[in-house]
Amino acid sequence: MNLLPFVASGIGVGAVYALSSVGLVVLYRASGTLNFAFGAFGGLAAFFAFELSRNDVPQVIGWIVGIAVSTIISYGYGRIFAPRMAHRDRVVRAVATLGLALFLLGAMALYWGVGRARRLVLPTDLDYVLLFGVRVSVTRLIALGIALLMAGGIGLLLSRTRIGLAMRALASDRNISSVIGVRVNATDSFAWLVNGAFAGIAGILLANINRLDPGVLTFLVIPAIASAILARLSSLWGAFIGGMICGEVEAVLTGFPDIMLIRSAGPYIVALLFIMVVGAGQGVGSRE
Amino acid sequence: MKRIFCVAAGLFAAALLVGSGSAMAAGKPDCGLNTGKAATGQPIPVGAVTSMSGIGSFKEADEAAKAYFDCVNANGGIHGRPITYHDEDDQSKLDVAAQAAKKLVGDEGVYIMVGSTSFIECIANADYYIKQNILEVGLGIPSQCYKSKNIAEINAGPLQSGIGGADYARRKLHAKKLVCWIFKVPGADYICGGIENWGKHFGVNVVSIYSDPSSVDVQSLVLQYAATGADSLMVFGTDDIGAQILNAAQGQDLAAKMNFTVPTSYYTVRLPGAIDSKYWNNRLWVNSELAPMDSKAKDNMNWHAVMDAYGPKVLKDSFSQAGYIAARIVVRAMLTIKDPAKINRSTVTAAVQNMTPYHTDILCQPWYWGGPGATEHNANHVTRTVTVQDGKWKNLEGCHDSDDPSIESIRVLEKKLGIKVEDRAIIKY
Repeated sequence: MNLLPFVASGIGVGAVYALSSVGLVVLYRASGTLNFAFGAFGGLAAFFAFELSRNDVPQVIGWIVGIAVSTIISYGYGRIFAPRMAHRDRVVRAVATLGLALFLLGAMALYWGVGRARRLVLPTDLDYVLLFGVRVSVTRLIALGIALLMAGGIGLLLSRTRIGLAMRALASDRNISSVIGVRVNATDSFAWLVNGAFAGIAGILLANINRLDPGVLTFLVIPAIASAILARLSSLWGAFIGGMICGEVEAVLTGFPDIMLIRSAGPYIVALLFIMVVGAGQGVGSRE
Repeated sequence: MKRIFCVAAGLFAAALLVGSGSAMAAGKPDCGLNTGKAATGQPIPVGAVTSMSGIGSFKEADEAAKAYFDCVNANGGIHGRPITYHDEDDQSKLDVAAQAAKKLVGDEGVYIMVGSTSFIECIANADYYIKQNILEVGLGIPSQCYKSKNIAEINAGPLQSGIGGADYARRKLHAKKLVCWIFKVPGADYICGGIENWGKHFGVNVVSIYSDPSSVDVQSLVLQYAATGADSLMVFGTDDIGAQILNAAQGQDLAAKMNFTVPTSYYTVRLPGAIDSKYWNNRLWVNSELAPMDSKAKDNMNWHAVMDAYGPKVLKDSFSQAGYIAARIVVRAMLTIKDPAKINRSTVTAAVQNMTPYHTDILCQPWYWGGPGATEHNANHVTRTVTVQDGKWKNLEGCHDSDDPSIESIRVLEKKLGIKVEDRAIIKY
């Protein structure tokens, strides 16, 4: 079977995974928290955008409000709850975000319901570029562009700005950073803010490319974590590449009838193999 | 897991037509003895095990059954005895469904199960009902709902609905090669395997594609459809998953190359708004297991009247329509027991098993049990076809039997009982 069409197909999902993965890595590097609520933040953004658009509010405003909602909620958590758990084990912090994810999932399911046919339309859905005989929608290309832009932009932010320096300091050693005057909570909160914005964009894109459903969007975080693991939760470009690899693996496995039934496991198998082969110390782009 | 259940819902051919509350004018309800006097005798306990939470809810079926029973109770009951309706939520879980049935049948002592509408209830309880000599008239998905001695469903089921859609593609769209797509969930082989068998019988090359329900990548799935070179498709799933697939198919302009047929679970009020209706205009062929909700025929109008009077807050959808029919059938059977003192589980079981066929304009042929010796039940296997036109549902074809060879034994029984297709719905085409 010709696999090239599936390669083209993997671009969109890969870009969303990449964007999500970069968002996770940014937060993890600054605060050491693996945010399981990332997908739920994105889901909220998508549902707010959907709600406004079906009430005849211009789409652009819907997207802005949606991303603002996910950003505010993420920032709020980072400002209010995260500092109280800053000295707890990383597992505890991660599990706390899982609780938040389930709470938000329940709230979305309660208000918007599950299993309902609906869609979040974007104006670029019907425009496309032909690649290997497959129509790759402009929306998917935009997702790829945003993922690239975000990975590059955050890389610049970390290397060229004061807040970036503070984030890198926190990533190295939280206690020493505090002693030398880094504003730990403010830096943490900023990382949560960035995380929320990334989640909002990824959620809106995934809701369009895939499905506007609380569960689907909330559990977007799972393959994104596999992508982030490929980057050892440290490299932004590694996270981007990891996301693209995971999306492509999932798509290309469709071309293998014998194993396509487990293609959603592809990203995790790749991550596992990667850790086994490359080892615990290095990841994709770890020299960054 | 969540998606698996969502898919199971999609297979729920009993999903049938889901419509919004209709403002159709409905007269005085026709219920039971129609005495106008409330029944005050010893209650007749009736039960139901329905999925009301967890993944999805079909509570409208129970609510409609209850509305009809309330109407019957207000009109003399079953020869003076009112029906008390006990329904339990199985949470879409096998163990909960089994516990709920034991509570109702064992503790509450219900005489019959009516309106049970569940993803898994038949799997959990089919054998238990046989042991307890209790019958169930409801709506179901898994094969156990159609292959049990003690269960008979109002809906046709996913296999018959799928065959109905595929057969439309064969007859009207000249399908020669058809893809049967379904998520790999329990029962998936039974459904696409059944369509493959149907295809062998009618000269249609059926290629089954089973896919991973956990994957979010739908576009690749659509590319896989195209790679088969088939001219037609039968795409199972709920309307939400269906909309996602149809949107991805539109992205590849696949409707220009393939005929899209889908089961009755797509026939919802939400679907036309969740797809590009302009693109799919007259390009999506949907099987329907019940009469359209806007049918002006007698039984459908009575359903409206009952719901308006006894369940005004209940969503008027296909579950409600089927729940009403289930309750009406059982009441009709119970009324044949002339001595109210003799109404018990045993006599109710016998009354339903021996009932004469029930003619209704909501189904395409009379509903029957088939006698105490019947070991399988699929009274509803004659279905309709609708399409999306100008952003709305449009009736395309009335009652048509797909002649599925796998239910030949059902046909033999129907011939013996004199069951014939009768399209009594009053609708616009």
